[in-house]
Order: sequence, then C-alpha cells, then structure tokens
Amino acid sequence: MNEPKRIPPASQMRELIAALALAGLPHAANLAYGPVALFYLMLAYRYLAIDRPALLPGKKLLISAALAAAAMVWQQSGGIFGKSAGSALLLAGVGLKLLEMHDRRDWYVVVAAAYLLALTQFLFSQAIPMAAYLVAVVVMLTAVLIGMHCGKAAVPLPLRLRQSAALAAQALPLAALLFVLAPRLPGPLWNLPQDKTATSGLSDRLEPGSINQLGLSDAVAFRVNFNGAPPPQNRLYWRGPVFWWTDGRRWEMRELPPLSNAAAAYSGTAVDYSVVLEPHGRNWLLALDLPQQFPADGHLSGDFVLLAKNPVNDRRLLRLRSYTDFRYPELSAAEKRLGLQLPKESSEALHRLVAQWREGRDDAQVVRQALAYFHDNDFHYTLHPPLLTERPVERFLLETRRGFCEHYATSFAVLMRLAGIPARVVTGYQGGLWNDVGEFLEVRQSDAHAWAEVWLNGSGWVRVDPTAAVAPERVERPVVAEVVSVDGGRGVESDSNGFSLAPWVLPAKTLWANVDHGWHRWVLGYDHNAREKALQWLNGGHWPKTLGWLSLALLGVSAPFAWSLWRSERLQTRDPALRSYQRFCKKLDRLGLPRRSSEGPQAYAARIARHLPRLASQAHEITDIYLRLRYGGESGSGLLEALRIKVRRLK
Amino acid sequence: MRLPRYPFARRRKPSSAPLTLGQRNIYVFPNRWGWSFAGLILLFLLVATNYNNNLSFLLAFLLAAMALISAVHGQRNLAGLVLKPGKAGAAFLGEELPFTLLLGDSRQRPRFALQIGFKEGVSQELSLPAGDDAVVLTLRPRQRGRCNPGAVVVESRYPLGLFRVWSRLAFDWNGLVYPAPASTAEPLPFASGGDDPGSNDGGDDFSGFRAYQAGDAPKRVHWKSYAQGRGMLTRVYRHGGQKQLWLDWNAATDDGVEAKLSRLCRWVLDAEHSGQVYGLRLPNREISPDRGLAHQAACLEALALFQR
Repeated sequence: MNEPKRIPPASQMRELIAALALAGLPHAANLAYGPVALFYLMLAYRYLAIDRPALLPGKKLLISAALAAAAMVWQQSGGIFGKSAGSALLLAGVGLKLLEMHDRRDWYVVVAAAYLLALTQFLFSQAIPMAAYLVAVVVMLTAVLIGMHCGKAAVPLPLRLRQSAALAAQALPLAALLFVLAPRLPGPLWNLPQDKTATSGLSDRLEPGSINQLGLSDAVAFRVNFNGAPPPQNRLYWRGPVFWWTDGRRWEMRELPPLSNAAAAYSGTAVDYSVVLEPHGRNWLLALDLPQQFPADGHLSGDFVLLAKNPVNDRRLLRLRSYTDFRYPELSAAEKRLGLQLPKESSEALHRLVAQWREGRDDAQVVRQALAYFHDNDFHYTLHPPLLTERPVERFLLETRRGFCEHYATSFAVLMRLAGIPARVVTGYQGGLWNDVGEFLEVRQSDAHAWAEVWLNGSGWVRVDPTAAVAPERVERPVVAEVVSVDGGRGVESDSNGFSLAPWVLPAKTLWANVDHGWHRWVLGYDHNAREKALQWLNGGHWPKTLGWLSLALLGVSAPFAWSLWRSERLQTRDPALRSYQRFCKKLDRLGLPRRSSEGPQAYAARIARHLPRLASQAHEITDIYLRLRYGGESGSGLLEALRIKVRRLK
Repeated sequence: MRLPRYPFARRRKPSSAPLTLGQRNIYVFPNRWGWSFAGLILLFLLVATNYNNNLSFLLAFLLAAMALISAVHGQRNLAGLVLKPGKAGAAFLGEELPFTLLLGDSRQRPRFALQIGFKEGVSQELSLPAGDDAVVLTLRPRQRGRCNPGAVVVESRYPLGLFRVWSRLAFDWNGLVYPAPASTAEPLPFASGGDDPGSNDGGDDFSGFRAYQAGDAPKRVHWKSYAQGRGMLTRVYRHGGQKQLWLDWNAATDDGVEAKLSRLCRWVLDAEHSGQVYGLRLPNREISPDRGLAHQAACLEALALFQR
C-alpha cells in the first residue's frame, strides 16, 4: 500500500509561506540585505502563484536563478562557509525551492529546511526572547506538518496549532532530560571560518585624543558570581590588555615573557568566583587581579593579563580564584626599559611640572603630588572631551583638562615616566552593577575603564587610578547604584537624554537581569564540563546510582503520558450518563450478556429482557433514563442520580 | 508503543468477531521521512557541537522528543478502533469484489487520515469524526470460488508523517467470485429447437399478480395498476406448457472447465435479462428452472463453487 503522492492544497501552501516568513524574519537583522530580500521576494511571488500556477518558472530559469543567488551570497558574505554565508545560502535556497515543489518529498525538503533556518538564528542570538520566538516558529511549522498528515479532513489551523503546541509541551521534559544527560563532544569538531561580529569595550590600541565621543554600550560584558562576599567595589578591577609603548598619542601592547604563577606572593583572602564571559573575539579573560587558579587553557602574561589560548568566540563559564592583595616579583630589565619609554618629542612644560613635584621627594610622594594635581586643578570627567590633535598629553594636562579615564590614565603614565618612575596603562573593566535578586555582579561594556600602574621600590607594581582623584564616583560607586550625576552625565540609571527613569524600572531591570543571568549561566553555559559535574553530583561515582536516577527521571517524564493513556483506556468519556451506562454494560458483561458493538441501547435492553427476564424491568428503566439524559436533551442531577443508583443496585 | 516486528509479525487466526486495535496489534516504525528527520536532527547536533551553541542542542533535542512523542500520538490515532467484518459481496472474476467493513470506536475520538484496505487491494483514505462508520473495501480476485480477502491493513502517518503506524487484521469472511461471463454472445440453448425466445410471453397462461420484485422484466409490470396508484404489480404466468430452458453443462461447447463455466455464466445472465425461466444443469448439481435475482444468484453461486 503506497500513499498517493498528493500535493497538499493551496491553504497549506499559504500556511507554509507564513511559517517560512516567520522563520526567516530574525535573519533580516543578521544577514546582508541581498539574500533576505530574495527570500521574501520569493515568498511573495510563490504566494501570488498559488492561484496562478502559470507564474511558476521552468527548470532552466530556476537553475540560473539558483546560480545567481549563490554568486550573490558569495559576493556579499565572502564565501559560502561560516554561519553568515551558510545561513544566507540556506535562506536563498529555501526561497527558490518554494518555486519548485511538485510532490510530497519537496514539501518535506522545505519543511526540514525551515527547521534548519530556525536553528541558524540561534547562531546569532541566544537571548530569551529569541528562544521564545523560535519555539513559536517551530510550533507553527509543526502545525503545517500535521496539516500534511491529517488526510482529507481539513483540520482548521487553530486546532492544529493547539495539537502541535501540546506536542511541544509534552516533548519539553524529555528534551530537557536529553539536554542535561546526552553526552557532549567538546566542540568545535572542525574549524569554521569565524565571522567577526563580536564587539568589546576594550581594544588592542589606545588613542585617547582622537576620540571625542565615547559610546557607552549597555551590552553585558560578563557576569560574576562570588562564592562568599564580593570584594568592595573599589577593588573590582577586571584586568584586560596592558599598554607599554607610546608615541605620545597612541599606546601599544608589548609581549613579555609569561609570568610563572608561583612567582607572585599572594596575601589577604582569596576571592573565589565564576565568570560567565560573553564572546568578544579576543583572548582576554578579564580576571580580577591577580588570578591564582584559572582554566587549563589560560595563562598569565608577563603583565598579569589572563589570556585564553583561543579567542573567546563563544560564551564561556570560567571558575577563578584571585587575590586582590599580592606582590609582584622583581622588575626585569626589559620591563624597566619599556616602563620608562617616552615619546620622541618631549614637552618642556611637563618636564618643569614634574621637576617641581620631585624636589627631593621619593617616588611614592611624587605619585601623591601628581594625584593632588589632578584633584586640585580644574579637571573634569566627561565622555565628550574636546579633540586633541597636537601634543595631546600636554594640551590635556595644561589646557583642556576634560576627558575620560583613558586621558587620565595615559597622561598620568607619561608624567610618571617623566619623573623616572616606570609606569604602564592597564585597560579592563571597573566595578559592575550588583544584582540584589540574583546576587551577582553584572559588568557591562560601559564599565570599561583604564588606569595606570607604577613601579615603586619595595611595593612592586601599584595600581593608581587618576580618574578616582577627579571623579571618585567613577570608581567607588555604591553597590546598588543610585543616580550618579557627574559632569557629562555618566549615570547608569539615567537614559541617554539625562532623564531619570520611573521608579519601577530599576527593580524590573534588576529582575530581568537576574533571569537573563540564570539563562546564561544554567542554559547557555551548560557544557560537557557542567554535564560531567551534574553526572558526578547525580551518581557520586557509582553507575548503579546513576541508572537509578536516570530511570527515575524517565519515569517522571513519562508518567503524565502513561497517566493520560491509562485514563483514555479506562474512562472512555466524561459524560457521567454514558459512564453509568458503561458500568451497567460491564455488569451485564459479567453476567454473560455483553453488549454487541452494533447494538443500540434499546435493542440491548430487549435482548436482556429475553435472556434474563428477571432484569427486564431494571434494564428497561436504566436504558430509558440513559436515553433521556443522553439523547432526549434532558438534564438534571436528580435524573443522573437515579441512573447511578439503579445501576449500582443492579445485580 | 510497540516495537516494530513487522517482518516477523505473528499470523493470527482469522477472526469473525470484532477486533479492537490496541497495544497487541498496532505496529510503529519510522518511514523514509522519519529516517530523514533523524538525519536532520543529527545535522542539528553537529551544528550545535561545532558552534558550541546550547540552544541549538535544545532545539535538536526538542525536535527529537517531539518525533518520539508523535509516535505515541500515532499509535493513539489507531488504538481503540473496532473493526468488524460486515457483508462480503460477490463479483465476477475480473471485477472488484466488495467487502463492507464496519468501523466502531471504543473511545469516541476523532481519527485522522486512516488508510484502510486489503493488503493486495486498493486502500482508501478515511478520517472519522468520533463515531461509527462503514467502509467498502474492494479487491480484484485472481480466481473464482470463495475468496478470503486476506488481511485488512489499517495505517496512518498522523500526526507528523514520521512513523508508519499500522495494524493487520485477518477476518474470517469470504466473498464469492463468479466466473467471468464469456465475452462472445451465443444463442441460449433451447431444448430441441424450442420456441422463439422472444415471443413466449404471450404464449403462457396468465395466472395472476404478485408484488413487484427487483429484476422483474418491465414487460411484465402491470403499468395500469401502477398508474392507478395501486403500486407496482407483476403479472405471473403459469409456464406449464412452455418449453423449459435448461442451461446444460453439455450444451456448452467451449473447451475446458473454466471456459464452459464462463459460457454458462453468460447464459444465466442473458436468460435472466430476457426474462426467461431457466434451469441450470451441472455434472454434479441441478437447479430447477425459475427466474428472479435470487435464482440467478443461486445459479451463479453454483457456477462459482463448481469443483471448488
């Protein structure tokens, strides 16, 4: 028996087109315009062609269109591999395939491709709203699929949507179980070209004078859970790239020999914490300085930056231990040379300034003098500093005196070098917003910061944050932020126009951040390591126990199902009258007189009267009440109760 | 859900009682689209692993779980159906032999896209609202005689088309296959040259009226009484004096048993059609002359079962 290759009707084509339009929608934000436009053009064209089949193109035209589409993707995405190019190719391919659907197999191909299309969206965004949206898309696609297998009975779309939503809901526990327990391979299996979409508030170059507007992205850089109490806000310096060499305008990194972990002397209490790091496309792992324990694929650079072996292109969960009190080893000759490097063109005015500070004082006192200079003079912290084209450091320090952290950190470092104190500029993130609900710290791109470090004999490298001297709020923000209003307005809780937000916005934001963090930490951050941990937690090393847990979980997942199946076996209906009548039939079945499947209630009653005359009147009464309740349009608990009692009394 | 055992499925004894579809006789197995879907999920897992993308994993597992659960829904789509053999029909060899299958539903559930048919016949699609129904299944038999149609196959791909869910039920019922009527006409074999078959109507003695029966020749209907609103009556003639038409085995000059039967079959049909009174004489059996559909059916049955 072969199923006829029936092509589904026009209504299903409309549904399929609608489902595809929904499935491809988020790609409008991810991909080049060409493939997206082609896709929606094809959908619209196919929609028009439903009633006008003559519009559908022939094979030759389709093949050339496919080649043209592939060429367009190649040209716009620079290849056909990688997630952008692959998704674009899929999008264009599905659009064209719509024009060439002849039999059931073609429908299957399109539906499968549509599921795949939904999947590719996750490669671009794994946010909660996207996940919810794509679940809706999957439900819609599945409803189309159900429509293809309902036969001639045209089941209306809302009913099918309900069926497919029920299917998804029933599948969810099993899917979750598979998600937690299915073995994972540490990916990637092969290296795909990475699309450079990751962004960071940090950069591998520093050029303070050339920027006169610092964009404050609200995007999350990473989130931190502390085991135990979090360190005070003014110790939360998350260390990123360190800059050594400058030409007076630009700062660059220098590679130093890696630091041996044992060389540092830690003191104070350790901070244990885990970081969910958003992908940023670079190797920096942004640890709290100074990390002592970190993942195996990380290493500490000579300037104490925790670096990963590969760029962070996926969200990572890091478990770290850091000390905020520590002492560095000796200053090497190379470090000393780099730490004192000065731009070729020197500034007389600055030399004079530094010489005035020195006047026989030691290094630590010079540092204090410099900070006092920043504090006492008319310096302002602003995100919109004037552009500095000529001699930026000198003009900033002596004339404009307006800038943000990078201006302060770099000019401070230059001053220190002029005074003969080795100095370097460190970038990273400072602070973060404490989430009271989830008890975690959320660090955003707008928390990017720059500070300086100087070498003081006897103390080693010491962090000096000149921005703190100017705008202490920038560094010592209260743990749960209130509206901070500095020159230029750098309040996290005021929107870009400077208006403060409604009072409920902050709690709502905090709550949402908490949900989002949980999502990142428990759903998106679940990897083969986490799975092993989960399994270990489950079995404590014993397989029988694991099996026990597993079967328990499976039981839990399948129990609702078994229950519904069992119920449908047992209770054939919810109509109480019918239920009573079935009980009546069952009783007679036990008496050896089962009701025949073709027999109506009255015929059955007549047969009972013939074969079991003693029950004749009872059977007739029961049948009569039952028929009145079920078919006579009568209702009433009294009648129902009578039926129930009569059935019960029947022996 | 029952594990697939299709090739080894136990042959059950044919039943004449109603059979209910349930765990014991419903089989579930992925079809081609099902295997392709499994491949699709593998592809999903590959992409998810490669991009280390957890939501892709979740989507892959969700689709896999939905596929598995769709098998349960598919099984439920069949479970609880009650199949009962109804009337087994009769047909000439070469024609479709009809069987009426009665469908009941012990759970009063709507059923979607059932394909019902004999294993060797044409299947037809059926969707049932909750309730009873009957369906006529046909089969093209290969030889005359009693014909058991073999197993009834009920199958469905509802809801996602990933699984073939099916049941094979054998019933104890037999249709009757008459010989195929000979294709060439040959005059009816009237004994000793007999009367002109066309003019015997007037020659018989009129003996009265009886109620009209299906198959009575229009010539014999008493149209006058019908026009007067007294219903349809048929004139009955006493055919004592008439020369009787015996369709005799020996009169068929064709070669071979089947050809002779075909000839006799054709004669029976022709004789009945022309309103003759006829008898059938086979080597092992004789059916005395009469006419009417019941008589014709008896003759055809004798032909069908000859030497069977």
